[in-house]
Amino acid sequence: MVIGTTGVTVRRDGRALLDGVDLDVAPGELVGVVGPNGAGKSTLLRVLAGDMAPDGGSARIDGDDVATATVQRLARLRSFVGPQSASDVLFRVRDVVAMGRHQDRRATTSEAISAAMERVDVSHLADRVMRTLSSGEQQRVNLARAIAQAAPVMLLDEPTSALDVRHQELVMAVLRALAGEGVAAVAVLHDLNLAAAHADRVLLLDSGRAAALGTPREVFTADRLSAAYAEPMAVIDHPFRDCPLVLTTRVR
Amino acid sequence: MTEPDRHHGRVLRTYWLLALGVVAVSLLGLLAGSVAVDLADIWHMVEVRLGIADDERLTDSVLWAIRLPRVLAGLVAGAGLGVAGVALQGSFRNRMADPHLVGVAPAAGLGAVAGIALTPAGGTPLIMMLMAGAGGIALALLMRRIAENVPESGQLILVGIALGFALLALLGAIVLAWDSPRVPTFRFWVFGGLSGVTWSTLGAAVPLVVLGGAGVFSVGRSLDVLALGEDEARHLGVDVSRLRLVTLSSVGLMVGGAVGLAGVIGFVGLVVPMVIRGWVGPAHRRLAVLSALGGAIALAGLDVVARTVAAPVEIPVGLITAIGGAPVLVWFLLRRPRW
Repeated sequence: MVIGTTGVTVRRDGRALLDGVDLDVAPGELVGVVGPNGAGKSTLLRVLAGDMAPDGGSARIDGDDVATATVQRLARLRSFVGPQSASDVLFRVRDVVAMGRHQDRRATTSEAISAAMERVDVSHLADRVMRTLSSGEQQRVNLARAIAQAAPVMLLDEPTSALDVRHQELVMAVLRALAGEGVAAVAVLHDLNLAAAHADRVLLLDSGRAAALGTPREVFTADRLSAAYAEPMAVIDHPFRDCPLVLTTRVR
Repeated sequence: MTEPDRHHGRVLRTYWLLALGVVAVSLLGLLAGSVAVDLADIWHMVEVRLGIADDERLTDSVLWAIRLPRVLAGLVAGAGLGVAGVALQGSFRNRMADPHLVGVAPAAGLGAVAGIALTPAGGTPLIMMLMAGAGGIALALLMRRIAENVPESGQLILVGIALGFALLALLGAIVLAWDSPRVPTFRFWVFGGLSGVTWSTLGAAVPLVVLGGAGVFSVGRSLDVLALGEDEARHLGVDVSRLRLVTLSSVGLMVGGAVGLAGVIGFVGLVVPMVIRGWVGPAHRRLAVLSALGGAIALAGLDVVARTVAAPVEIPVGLITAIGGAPVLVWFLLRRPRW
């Protein structure tokens, strides 16, 4: 186990955003976190990242309690990609990606920065100013920055939310490849079929509780998803991939 | 030629242009004034000071005792305000942050007045300068504390503006009420001026400005990362709270030195970084060095205007910076930005 939570509980205004969530992620594993709006997905990620101290339980990366680790130590342990980035960044793409190596600037080569940009198809944007990019392009640049950070754990909050279909597949394939290189990745995903196709395991959160944790085939059942999302769903075999395919079944 | 090459060329040209500008305004500052002086007189003053010549003339003492410290004070205070503007804007991620606007300069002015009260008559200006620095640091760190609870930078600037107005009014009231020949006039504190500069005030201010400038330079790369956002900076290993502590303490020191020399002067810390950023981009180390040069040119140059445009009457240089700075600011805000 490289990253894990034990009984993580977060309360705000008397309401439990997370309620006793346990999760262990091993090196080389890609875990998708899914669930309806307000289920606590982003809160869990923020606790794992050390942005938010839990009211109960603990989160650890590589044996360190993230609530007490220094920001410098955490930056070597985990990278983080948020759903949005600041819209007014005046730096060029290459400079932003290089900031992923802020902690180890002197040991960084321009080839490493170029390679990170290459992986998520932003090399052609290298000289563009960040704020002139579309939100999808910015999202890929932020992923390149996280790749450049070269931490053993990657935390991603809706990393595909602004991407077209081709780049959604590209980014998920990159996450799979990073997992193949030993990275432990936890990605909050709204698209259940992306999670089904690419994640090793999925954690279904519902009202702050872990409703299910397992392989996509184990977790994605019609009854469970319909109950969690309060929306009728069906789960069938994907006709082209070896994974489940989730469909909404409400007829217009 | 690629865009990075073009950009590199533009940065190099800016360094050269501003370095030449510093030399030009320095010479202009030495030459301008009621006692006519030419380049040969400046050279003669240098020879006298180095002991090469011993026939000291009136122009030598005018240049050495009055004009040279005044020119250097303009350069030092302007450089300090320019770098302080860069640091404040980086720290609060808002290009409207300015040492005058957010109250740091008025707080340094209050510190300076308190320092004068503590200094025995005829004493060195060191205590005044240190108290100015302390006043600036106190306000800057108060802003840091407020920033923890007011994450939206526009609101933070408004809080700073409110504090700045109150402190400037308080400073004005104290100076008006305190009738002492040792206290520089209301006009000096509210509109700024370089007429009272001596070698000893300059000597007390330089360490503050240099130390503050070095502080800002040392955290320049972390300020770059902070431009991505506070959370992003933390994720990349920047201790944002400590970064703001170093940056804002440095701002307080630099503004303290600048205010101790030149009074409360606005616009330099706002306009200079904005113009320089438009030329060379947002990287803070480069921006700090070039804004130091740009601020030096702006204040020393506008001081020449202040003492020549209505000679023999001298106009407070703070009025000139506001009159000159406002249209530049408006033009820069309205134009299509490269950065």
